[in-house]
Amino acid sequence: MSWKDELDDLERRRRLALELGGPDKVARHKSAGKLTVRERIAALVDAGSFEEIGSVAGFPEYDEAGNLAAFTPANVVCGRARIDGRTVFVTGDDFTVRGGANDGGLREKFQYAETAAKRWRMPLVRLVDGTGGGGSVRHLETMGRTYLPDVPQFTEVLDALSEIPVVALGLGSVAGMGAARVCASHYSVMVRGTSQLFAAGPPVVARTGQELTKEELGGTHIHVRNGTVDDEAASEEEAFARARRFLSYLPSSVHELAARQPTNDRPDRADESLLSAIPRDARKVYRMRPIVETLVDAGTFFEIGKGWGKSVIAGLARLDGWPVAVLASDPYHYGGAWTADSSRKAIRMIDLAQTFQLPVVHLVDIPGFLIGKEAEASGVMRFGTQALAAVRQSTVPWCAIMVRKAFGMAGLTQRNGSEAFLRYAWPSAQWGSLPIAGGVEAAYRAVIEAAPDPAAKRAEIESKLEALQSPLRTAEAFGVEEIIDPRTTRSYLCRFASLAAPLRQPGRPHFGYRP
Amino acid sequence: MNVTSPIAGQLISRLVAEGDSVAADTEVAIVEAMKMHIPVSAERAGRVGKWLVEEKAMVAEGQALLTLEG
Repeated sequence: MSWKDELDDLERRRRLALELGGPDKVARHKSAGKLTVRERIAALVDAGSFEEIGSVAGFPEYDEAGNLAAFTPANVVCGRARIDGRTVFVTGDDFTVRGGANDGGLREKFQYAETAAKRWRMPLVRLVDGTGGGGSVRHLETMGRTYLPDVPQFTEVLDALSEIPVVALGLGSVAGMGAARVCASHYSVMVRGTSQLFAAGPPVVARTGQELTKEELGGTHIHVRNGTVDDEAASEEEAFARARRFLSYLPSSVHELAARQPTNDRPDRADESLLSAIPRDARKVYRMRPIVETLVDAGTFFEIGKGWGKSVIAGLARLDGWPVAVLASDPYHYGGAWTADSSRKAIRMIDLAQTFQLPVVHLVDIPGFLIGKEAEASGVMRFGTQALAAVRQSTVPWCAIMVRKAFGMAGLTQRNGSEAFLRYAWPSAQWGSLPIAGGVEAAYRAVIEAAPDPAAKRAEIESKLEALQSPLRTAEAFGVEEIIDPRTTRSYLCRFASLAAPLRQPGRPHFGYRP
Repeated sequence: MNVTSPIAGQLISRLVAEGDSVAADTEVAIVEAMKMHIPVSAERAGRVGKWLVEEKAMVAEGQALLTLEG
C-alpha cells in the first residue's frame, strides 16, 4: 500500500510536458535558429536552479477508460530560479504550442506567471516568443460571441514595474500582447535576425497596402533606433547575458536597496589622460565613452540604449562597488544637444534610477535642446520639458560633473530635485543662459551696427564676454561648489557614492513607473 | 548608398576626395551645427563616388553629402 502509482502517473505527465509541442514542432523551431523555452531557461539561470511551477498544466486527452491518451502542455513554462545566486521568477512562452499564442495556454497559469514575481518581491524575467492575447479569429466561432478586449491582470503587470525589476527578452516574432509584454519592462533586448516586434504582423499590415517582410516591419534595426527596445543581441545567449548583467545592478524589489560589491579598483585612482580629454577649441568633439569607462570601477559600465537618442549616453555602473546610474553627453551627436529622443531616453534612465534608488552621475556637456525646424517638428520642447520634470521629480542623490557646456533650459538637467546633489566643474566648463556667439548679435545689435567696422566690434564684444565666461568667476561667486582637477574625478565620484548610499530610501516610487 | 548629414548645419569641410577608399566609420566630412564641428562618418566601407554638396553650403538633416560605391 503506497501512492507510487499516482506518483508514476504524475511523472509520466511531466515527461510528456518536456516534449513541448512534439518532435516535429520542436525540430522546426530549432531549425529557425531558436532555442526551445526549456533550453532558454536552462541557459539563463544558475545551473540546476529552476524550480518549475505548473509542470503538468496543459491539455490532456483521456480515453474511454479514463486513462491519459495524449497530453499537450500549456505554452507558458514558469517557475523560480536563481541568477548569480539570487532568486528570480522566470516565465517563457513555448512557441511550439500554438505559436505561443494565448489560446494555447491556460489563463490561470499565465496570470500566475505574470504576477508571482511581484507578489514574492523578486525580479521577473520574461522570455517572450508568442503572438497576441487573442490567438486567432477562429476563436470567434468556437466561442459563438466576442468580448471587450481586456487582460484583467495587465493592471498588475504594469504595476509590477513600480515594485520589482522586470526584464523582457524578445526571442521570436512578437505581436500584439507579446509586443506589449516586451515593452512593459525596465530592460528589453531583441535578438538580431530571429526576433521581430510589431503591433500586428505582415499579413495584417498587407491589408493596408504595405507588403513587408517580418524583418522589414519590425526587426531590431527598427526598434533599437526608436527606443521601443533598449538593446539588441547577436544571439539568445548574449541576450541572457545582458539580462543577468542588468539585474546585477538592481535590488530584488523597491523594498530593498542594491548591494555593494567588492572591487579591486582603487577609489583614488587618477587618470592622466583626463587632463587633456576635452579639446581647448569648444567647437571640437571628443569621445565621452572612454571618459565614463575610466571614471567608474573598471569594467562595470553597462551601456543601455546605444542605438537611439544618441546625444545622451545612458547606463549602469559601479563606483567603489556601489551601483549607480550614469548619464553622459555625446558631443558626436548634435554636439550633445538634447533631442526629443535623447530626452525620452534620459527619462527612462532617470525613472529607473528613482524607482530602484540608484544614485545618478551626470557628465554634462549640453549646448541646449536641439534647435531648428526638424527639432521643432519632433516636439523637442514637449519631450525636453518632460525630461526636466523627470530630473526634478527625482530625489535620489545626484552628482554632476560639469565637463564642458551647460546652456539654456537643457542645462537645468545638471541637478535634480534632491537636496543631496553635488556639482564639480572641470576647467573646460562653460555655461550660461545663452551661448555667447548667438547672443551677441541680439543683445548688441545697435552698438555693432553703429560701429565703423561692425565685424571688428562684434569680435571685440565676443572676446570681452568670453573672458567673463570662465568657470572660475562663477566659483568666486559660489555659483558652482568646486572646480576640480579632471584627473582626480574618480575619487570625488567614489566619495559621492559612499555618501549617497545611506540616503537611498527603499519603497515604492512616488510616481507609477511608465515603461 | 549615400552618406547623409546627421544634422542641419553648414558643411565646413570635406575630409575625403572622390575616388578615395574609406573604411567603415571613417570621418568623411565636418558639419558645423549647434556651434560645434560635428564629424560625419561613413556607415560602411566603400569608395567615394561623387560629392553632392559644396563646402560652405548649408545642409538639411538627412541630406545626402556624397555617394558611396562598392
